[in-house]
Amino acid sequence: MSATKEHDSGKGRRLWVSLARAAGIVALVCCQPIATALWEYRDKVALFLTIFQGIFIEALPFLLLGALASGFLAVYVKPEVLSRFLPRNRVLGVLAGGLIGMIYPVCECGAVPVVRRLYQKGMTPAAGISFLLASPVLNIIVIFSTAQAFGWGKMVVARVIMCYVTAVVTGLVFSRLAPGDILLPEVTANPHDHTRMRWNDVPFWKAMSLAGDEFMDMVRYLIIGALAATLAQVLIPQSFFLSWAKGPVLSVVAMATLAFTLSLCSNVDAFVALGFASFFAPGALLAFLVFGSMISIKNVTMFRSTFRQKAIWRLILVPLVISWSLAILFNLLWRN
Amino acid sequence: MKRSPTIVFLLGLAVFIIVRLATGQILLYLRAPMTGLLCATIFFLLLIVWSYGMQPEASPHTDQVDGDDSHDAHDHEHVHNEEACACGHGHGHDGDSDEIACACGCEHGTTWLKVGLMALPFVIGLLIPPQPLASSAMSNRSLNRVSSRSTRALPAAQENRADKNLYQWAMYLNDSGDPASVSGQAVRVTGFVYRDTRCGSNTFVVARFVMMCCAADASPVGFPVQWPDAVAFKKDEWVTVTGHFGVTILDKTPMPIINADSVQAVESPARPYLSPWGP
Repeated sequence: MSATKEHDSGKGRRLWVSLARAAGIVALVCCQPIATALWEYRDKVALFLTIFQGIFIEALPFLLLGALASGFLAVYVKPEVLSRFLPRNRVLGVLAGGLIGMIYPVCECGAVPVVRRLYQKGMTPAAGISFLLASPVLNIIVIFSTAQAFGWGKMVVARVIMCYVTAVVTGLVFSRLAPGDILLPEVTANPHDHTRMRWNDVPFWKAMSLAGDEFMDMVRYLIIGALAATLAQVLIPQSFFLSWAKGPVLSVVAMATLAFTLSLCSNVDAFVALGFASFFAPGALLAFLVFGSMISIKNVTMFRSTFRQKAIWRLILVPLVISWSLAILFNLLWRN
Repeated sequence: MKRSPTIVFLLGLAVFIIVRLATGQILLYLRAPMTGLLCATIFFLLLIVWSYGMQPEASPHTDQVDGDDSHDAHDHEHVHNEEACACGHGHGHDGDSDEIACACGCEHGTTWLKVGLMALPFVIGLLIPPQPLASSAMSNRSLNRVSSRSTRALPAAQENRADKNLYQWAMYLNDSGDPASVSGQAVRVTGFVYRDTRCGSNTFVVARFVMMCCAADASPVGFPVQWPDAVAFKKDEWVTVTGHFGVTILDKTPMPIINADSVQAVESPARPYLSPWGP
């Protein structure tokens, strides 16, 4: 077990080194053509940098907040406390996990570092997944911003219910799998035996340093996720999604795919969805608001810090099937 | 020592945000109210760096992130088994069981190389002069796809119609759905010059981006402007257009158009984007 891990990590390191070397060689050989190409597309390069920095800077405070919460959880909350509050029962645990977001109102950038720590404290993978998927929508700030965009009405209620149902069902699907198939070994193995390391006696400083380590661990996923999301935004015109989006089914597919590539923060996506309100059926907007806030290019990249690759595929596909069918159903019911 | 790459990265990130805040360039990326949150972010980044300074010197064996060897002083319990080192990150103990190991004092093998790669987008971002979203972003997005439901959050600029900005005009028109409803009304708006293939020598589009949160969600609003000397203005140049609304036929659909009385080149504004929540 350990040997394969060492092998993996060695491979990972070699990959980084060879990537950097390859990049260096390519840069040297193609210096002139690259410079010409960059100059040719300097508008697009500037656009890329602007959007990337926009996504990153906007997410940064929330990632840091998540890392701080994770650090303080590690130091101040004992596993017994967690197990006292989370029901042992499989179904109840998943149901409760989905509600944690209500007392911890951050979107996914702040949820991933926390869920990693909760896993180390003994939370079941399924409950953690329902927390992760529900928290971007089931929190006070997002509910209020949705209501500000659409008014207190069907859209708010439908978004919250659809999101919770999707999160819980996905959690239940995952509860049938062995934890080892879902989580990366370093997440479950409780390696962070911090007693072995000498820490400052003051818990506060220990928590801050742990938060810093967690932040460093996560920030690279945020950077890669933001780069990928920006690339998708710059390369794929929005009209591509909107041109074929007719009817109750295709409109759902189009809006959900658009949300996947946009990787917006769930706090504001309601206002963006509102911009599409006159062109799309309400179910399509719901797909945008529910699927998009759970699963996006940025989120999926951040999931890679915690989940196995196989589990990530399921983590995309199960919410996709559930939320898309709910949205299509909503479209059909709304018409009558 | 082992934390140097981490500390340098965190400090660099703080400097990056301070530069963006101090120069006001942050307004090219974000809606303004994030500023307070970002100041808190800088504070906590520095606090984390400070907390690293408060930790006792790392014991020698936790130093081995890269597998470089200097473990002379094994004065502490030297546990090396699966449980102790299940962390799976780059500890680099290939073969030699004596070469430790548990760098899991949560130093997750952050090396100068990784930190350098992570910092790359920000270094490039600082080197290339930042530009607000403009014409190059228009081709990917649809014009005037804004809805008016959030008007509740808007200040009542509706009375004095000449003071409406591009966003407010776009919402007004989306609401009424009829370009004729504004025909003849006086208009005075500021935006950048945008041209698409349909623009002749005497038209350009005066456009501007509306931002809710960050550059990823910005969407453009704008109207075509009829002006005899339209070619005199370069794309992305900022102008203030004064005139009256009229109606033109484009692709067989009636469209509002601004018949300009004057077009003035202006400095690009410090806040290049409009916000649904006020100026």
